[in-house]
Amino acid sequence: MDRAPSERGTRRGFLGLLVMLGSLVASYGTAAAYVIGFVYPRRREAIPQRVYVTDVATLRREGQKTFRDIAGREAVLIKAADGFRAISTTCTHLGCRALWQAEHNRFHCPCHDASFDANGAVLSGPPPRPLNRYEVVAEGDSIFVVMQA
Amino acid sequence: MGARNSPGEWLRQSFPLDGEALRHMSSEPIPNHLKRWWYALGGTPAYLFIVLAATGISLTFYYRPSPDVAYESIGRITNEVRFGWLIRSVHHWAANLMVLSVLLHVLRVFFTRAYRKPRELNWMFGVGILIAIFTFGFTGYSLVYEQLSYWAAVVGTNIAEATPIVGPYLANFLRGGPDITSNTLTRMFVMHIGVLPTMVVLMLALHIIQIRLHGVSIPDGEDEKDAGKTFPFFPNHLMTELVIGLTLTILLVVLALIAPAPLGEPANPNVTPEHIKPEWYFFAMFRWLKLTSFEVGVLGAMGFVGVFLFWPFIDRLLERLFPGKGVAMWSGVLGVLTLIAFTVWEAFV
Repeated sequence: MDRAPSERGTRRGFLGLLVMLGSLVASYGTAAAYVIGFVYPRRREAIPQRVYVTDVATLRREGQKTFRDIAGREAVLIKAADGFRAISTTCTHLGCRALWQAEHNRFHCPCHDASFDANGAVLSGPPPRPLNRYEVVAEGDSIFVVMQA
Repeated sequence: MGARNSPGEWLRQSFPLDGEALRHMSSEPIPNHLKRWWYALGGTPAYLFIVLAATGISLTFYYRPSPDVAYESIGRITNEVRFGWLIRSVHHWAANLMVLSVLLHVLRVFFTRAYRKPRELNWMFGVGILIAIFTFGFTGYSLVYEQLSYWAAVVGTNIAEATPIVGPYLANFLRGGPDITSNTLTRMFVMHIGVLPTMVVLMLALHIIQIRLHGVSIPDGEDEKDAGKTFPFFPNHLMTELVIGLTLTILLVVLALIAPAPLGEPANPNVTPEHIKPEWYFFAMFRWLKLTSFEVGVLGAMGFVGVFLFWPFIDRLLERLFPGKGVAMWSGVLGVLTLIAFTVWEAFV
């Protein structure tokens, strides 16, 4: 837009330009913030919940029990010598599903050849940390796992 | 009432294009070395992009981007819709040839050092297009919602999560939440058919505008052979591109006939297949991630992309530090051989 020659280079012209640019940045900035807020998913606060998985007798008999956490991710409940363990089978490298190989007594992730022992500790491959574990609560004959909802 | 115009006159008045300017634009003198086909490798992906857009839009008429029905809709396109298998297979093969031709174009530009001053920015636009093409491939095969699709999305978004500082936000944005859900598939779909095509068209326009502004670069050896000889873009070079386009069309149909696009097992979030591999163009990255620790794997790959993006400046620095030794060239040879070795290793193990 052409401005009157008298306004060019004047304080009034400069202030006018500043107000116009400021308004543009403010209005389009607000619009951009709304769009980002729209496409960026809302984070939910994690709330711990106790979920019944199985009973002690069944776990003793079968040795392990596969279950899913509240988000639908698979995990396994194992009867170990010193108690019960609930281990997530989501590989801590890049999120593939680690498979329990009973014959080798280990979890194996086929994506990048990682392996973990029965406690979830890294045996080989690139994972940066052990498999995640859930808190296990045994009450009477029932076994509960504490999950984040 | 004014005099009646002929349709031709009406069109000229409605669309007042200057014929002389058009002739000037289309008859830009092209250096003689562009008669050799490997210098037309930039036009090949441009042609494949049109094929991908046409077949992609066709597939969108039947594809449904929801985890419950995505795989089923691909099955329907392949087995029930008339010529669906052909359209899908041509799309599949055009995508593969696109990656191949862009890589060959990059190699040609790299080894003829066409990225040198003043074309550094155009090299960077080119690298942007290359990254967008890989993302196209990644989002494209995620849409099929077979086992490979699902686990590629898991691995890909987790790699994004490992990006320093912005990683968790980026992964959350890509997945539409902390896990791969129906949100993820919708986002992959929107990126594949909306965001990426827009980005590629914009970057391609900037890439071509830069080529027109700078003119085609003359490689050192070619300059001596042809000594300033030129030929017009229209019709000569356009004919070369059309012959390549026709050959590609035949090749795509033949490939679709002898090796139609496969459809694996449907996605199962609870079982990662024992022998899972991504598409061939991610083999080198996949092998690299197997060989290194998590941090070295992810940050190393990002570092490689960074070096690649700023290569024209690194080349200049290397030339200044080791003049006449060809260090930049040998670094390129080493890099390409490493990528090929990793790709072959992953393919056969």
